[in-house]
Amino acid sequence: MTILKATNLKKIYGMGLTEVTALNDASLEVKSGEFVAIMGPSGSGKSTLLHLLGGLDVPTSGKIDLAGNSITDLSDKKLTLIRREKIGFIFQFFNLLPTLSVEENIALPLVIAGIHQSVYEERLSKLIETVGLTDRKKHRPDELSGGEQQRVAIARAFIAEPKIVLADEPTGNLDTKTGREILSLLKDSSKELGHTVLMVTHEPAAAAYSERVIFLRDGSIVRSLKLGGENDTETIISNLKELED
Amino acid sequence: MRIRKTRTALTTIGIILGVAVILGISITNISTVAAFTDMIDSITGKSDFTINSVSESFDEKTLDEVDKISGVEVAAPGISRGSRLTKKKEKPDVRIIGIDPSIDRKVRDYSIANGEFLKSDEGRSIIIVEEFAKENKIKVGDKLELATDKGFSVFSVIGLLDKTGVGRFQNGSAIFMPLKTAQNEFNLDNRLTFIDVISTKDDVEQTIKKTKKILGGNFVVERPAKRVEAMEESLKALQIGLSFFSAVALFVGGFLIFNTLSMVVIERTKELGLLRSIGASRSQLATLILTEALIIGFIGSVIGLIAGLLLARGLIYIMSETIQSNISTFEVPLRGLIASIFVGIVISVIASLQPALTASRIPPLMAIRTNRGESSSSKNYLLLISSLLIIVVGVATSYRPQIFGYLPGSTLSQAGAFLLLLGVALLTPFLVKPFSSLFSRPFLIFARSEGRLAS
Ligand SMILES: Nc1ncnc2c1ncn2[C@@H]1O[C@H](COP(=O)(O)OP(=O)(O)O)[C@@H](O)[C@H]1O
Ligand SMILES: [Mg+2]
Repeated sequence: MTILKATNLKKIYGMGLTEVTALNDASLEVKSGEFVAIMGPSGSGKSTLLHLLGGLDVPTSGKIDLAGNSITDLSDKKLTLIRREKIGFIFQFFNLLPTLSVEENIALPLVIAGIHQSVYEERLSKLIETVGLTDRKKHRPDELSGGEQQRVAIARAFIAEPKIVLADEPTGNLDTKTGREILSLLKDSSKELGHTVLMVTHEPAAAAYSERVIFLRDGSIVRSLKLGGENDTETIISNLKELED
Repeated sequence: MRIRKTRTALTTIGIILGVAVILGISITNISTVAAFTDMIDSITGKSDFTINSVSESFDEKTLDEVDKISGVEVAAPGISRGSRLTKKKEKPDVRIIGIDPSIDRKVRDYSIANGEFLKSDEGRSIIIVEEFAKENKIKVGDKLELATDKGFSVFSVIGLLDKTGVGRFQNGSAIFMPLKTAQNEFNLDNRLTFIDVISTKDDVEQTIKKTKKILGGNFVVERPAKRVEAMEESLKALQIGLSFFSAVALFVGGFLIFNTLSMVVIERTKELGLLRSIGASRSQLATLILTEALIIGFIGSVIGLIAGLLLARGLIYIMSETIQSNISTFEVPLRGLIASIFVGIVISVIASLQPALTASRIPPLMAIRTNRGESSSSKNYLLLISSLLIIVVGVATSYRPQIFGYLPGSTLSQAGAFLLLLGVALLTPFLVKPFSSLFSRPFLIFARSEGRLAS
């Protein structure tokens, strides 16, 4: 079942002489429960694509359908509700609120939605356990390591049970070992819990955790590669090389 | 944590001052006028007008002249002099009123609680107020020593007055004695200090005119109400001065709040963007800032109320010196109370509207912006210097021993005070480092209650 469908997405930043076409005619489909990686050289429009899909920004033209609803041409109010209920976002720099505890940071989307604590209490502690932060839940973000902070961000992205979770270089700011743990966590939540995850990365080893890799170049989607073989990382590297030529 | 507290304190100070002054003025005015009215009422009693001389005393033949004026029904002569009880521990101040016992009850209400009223117009009998007597352990039949112009004279207490009518005069510290005796004791033989007149009913103004004409320019003839009006008039000067001060304080208070919240919004742009990106609505962000302002406004107003009560005590002390009477009333007007809280909160909210609007317009993508703030340090330098300059000029112009004095006529010192406060307001960004955790916690509180409404 298709959960996300983007058609002919175009994004132009600026005007006139400073005009930059960040995305050009990008179309893609993501199935429910899929774990997809987006790769491409720096400046190829990966982040832009993710922001449009996540309703953080609006495309210049094109259409996005999320779980059967168009999210293009929505009022700010409706788009806010889409972000609140249907989308989870994980940022490269974690973006936690420094004054809130781990627990409070994770619950924030639900608090914003006005859901009472008694409703989500159980889910919250389960999720905190899943990301391995049970003994850290009262801590503030600045008392945590980078990997732990990103776990908090992951839990926050999943807490409201969104239709899709978007992650922009979630391991870009972590060492390799911690990065792997985070990737396993994302993969598991996709595999075992059936969540749909779309992840931007420029590391082949990270992309190898996914089921499918979408390659971007100059704002266009140039290739989609199904994974699941033995030498996924090598396959990805050779594909990148091909595209760079 | 400490920085946050400093900032909150600085932010609320203008509101505290403004609210305090509004309430302080309102209490002082009401209490002073009430006390003054009461004082006038209690002693002038039923009389329609009072005759005083521009000099200290006047010849008692004036009484015969007044009696002859058509329209004068009763003319009650009297003497009023200050004294003290010399044998009592505290040596309490008293006011001696010499009256003609055969006439005075027509003009004033004497309600005898114990003993009897003055009988003859001579003799060394006095009556005093029961409450005052109790405080000084005096009973009917006791002898009292009073300081007079003759030295120390002894009188016997023959009656005690209720604290109604004349018993309220001077907060109950008046002592009544026969006119002749008083004249003698204070070296005022054949002289009076006042005459209270009851006029035939419809004709008061006419009678006053006639009396003025007959007595001439050496006498002041006026209705008691006129004196209250004059008092209110002179209170207005105080009120205007203080109102100006409270307006300035509130303006600066609003500015401080505006300043703080604007800074909070700029510092927290990234976090506000994050909140937007995970589903907070524009109105939730605006509400977040408004809630902050409400909290500041409420705290400031409550502290301001307490400060206002203290201020009123001080002002009333000054006022009682001015009207030379003990102001025992301390009326806290409900209207003033509500108005000052209301003003404090409303100003806070108004000051937060612009920052709230700015917050609500932060796009979700601000969550990932990497550069923090675009404060150019040279610009800040300029602001720092100019605010210091403003403070210096403000201090220079306002440095007068009587900034808070009770008849602030000088607009210069008011302008100085204004500049001083303005300078301090502009300086706050430097006093408080751009660091605030004032923030996210109220958000949680607010979001728990408001989130449902906002969606
Ligand atoms: N806010 C913006 N204003 C102008 N140009 C932008 C903006 N964001 C991105 N771009 C440009 O759009 C292109 C794609 O950027 P981005 O999506 O961030 O690429 P990637 O994430 O793949 O590195 C780049 O050329 C970038 O400079
Ligand atoms: Mg990027």
